[in-house]
Amino acid sequence: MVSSPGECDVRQHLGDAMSRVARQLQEEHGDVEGTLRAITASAVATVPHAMECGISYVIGRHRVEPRASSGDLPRQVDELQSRLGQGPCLDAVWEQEVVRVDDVGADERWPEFAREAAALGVGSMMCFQLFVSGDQLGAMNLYSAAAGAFDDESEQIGLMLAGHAAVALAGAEHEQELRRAVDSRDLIGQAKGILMERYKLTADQAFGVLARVSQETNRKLADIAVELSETGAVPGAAQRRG
Amino acid sequence: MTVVEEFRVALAASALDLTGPELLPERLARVCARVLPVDGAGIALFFADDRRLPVGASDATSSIAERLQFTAGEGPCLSAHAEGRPLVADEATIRTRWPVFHDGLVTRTPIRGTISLPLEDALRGIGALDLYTVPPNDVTRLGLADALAVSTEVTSVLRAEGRTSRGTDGGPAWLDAPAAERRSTVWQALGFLNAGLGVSSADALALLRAHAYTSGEDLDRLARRVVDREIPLDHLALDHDSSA
Repeated sequence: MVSSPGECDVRQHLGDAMSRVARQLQEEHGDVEGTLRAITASAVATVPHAMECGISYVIGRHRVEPRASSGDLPRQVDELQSRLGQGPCLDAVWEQEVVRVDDVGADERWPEFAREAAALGVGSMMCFQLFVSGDQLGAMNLYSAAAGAFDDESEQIGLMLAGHAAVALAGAEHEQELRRAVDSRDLIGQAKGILMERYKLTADQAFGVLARVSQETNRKLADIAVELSETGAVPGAAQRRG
Repeated sequence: MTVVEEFRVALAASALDLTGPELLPERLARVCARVLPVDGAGIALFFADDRRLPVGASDATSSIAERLQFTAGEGPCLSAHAEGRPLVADEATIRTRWPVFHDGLVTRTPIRGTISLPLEDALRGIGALDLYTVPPNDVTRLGLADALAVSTEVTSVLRAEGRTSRGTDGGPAWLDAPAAERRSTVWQALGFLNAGLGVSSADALALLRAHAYTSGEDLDRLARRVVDREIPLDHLALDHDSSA
């Protein structure tokens, strides 16, 4: 790292920001959305010239879904990228860890995005890749009203915050996945019980019925189970022919 | 050696006895019981109210304690989870705060003390580590710092293994633990009551709990008997003096 007059200040700044994030993380107590929101707020407070910050999922290179945001602007820019099918989150950030757009209005890579984002008041922006998993990507985006607002120092601070955001998102994914797996087992178990009682089936036969309906209707086993538990009827039974 | 180092050594050694990935929670529970000054341990997950899923216990007595608590619908582990903080309870505390659980505990097990720790990090709000003491041992011998260090290890091992070995229909392989399979019979029994008595799941669980309490059996066993059609459903409704 090149030493500069501001380096000491940067470190001091970073140290403060990190302890603030840590404190907020503790206060939010595991609430992932809260953690992500805290990170966006810290980014705005810490990264020089950052005006807004958003953390988003990019799905299949065509949809940008906001997860947490310091204000309205990040959500509007996400929506813009989804609608236009172009912008830094949809291509550049898949290949690079950080994408810096110094003059959004003049950027020729995404002409329509450039025009509309500038109209929303975005002068410059930085996108940080948080993770890539299959066709999903996590991104943290920083915005400033002025062109050329971000430099190497802002990028360095942004990278550290992006690290925290990536950890928080990974935790959220893990929890969701566990919850889904357990929920679907519970529901399938309960649906089996309903079928066993009503049609005098064994557990294996009941599972067979669910599996067959799932196959015939091309729907997930857990979805069939939910519907059965809620309505008491085997989904798709009425539509089945012959 | 620190308690965490001891934990890691014991966990590595235990891989020789219990090899299947679905037995990982049981291994972890055994290792907890071994490296901490307690007599038993159990690991459970919570997802919805009343849907407590045991995934592993160090021994049969610890399994019984977990089932008693699930049957009673009250107890230190449930309270620790609800309050989101560790809860240390000696016998006097258990008797005062959770009298139904206490009745079962003293009748059916030698356990007289519990330390319940909500798991942190990746399992925060979901996982629980329950430790049990049997006299002459008591809850005062355990240092909370050691217990927390060990519970952090438990979480990180479950997390890491959950990523590498996958179970049936998604989720980590350790979710296929035998104890979890047994508990799933209760969800089947709820379905039986949903269909046969036309009651909601919450009411179905209350009916099963009431019957289990009067007949002195645990909910998992009662559920098994319901699913095996050994108990006519109207008996469960009548027991509760229900108008349903």
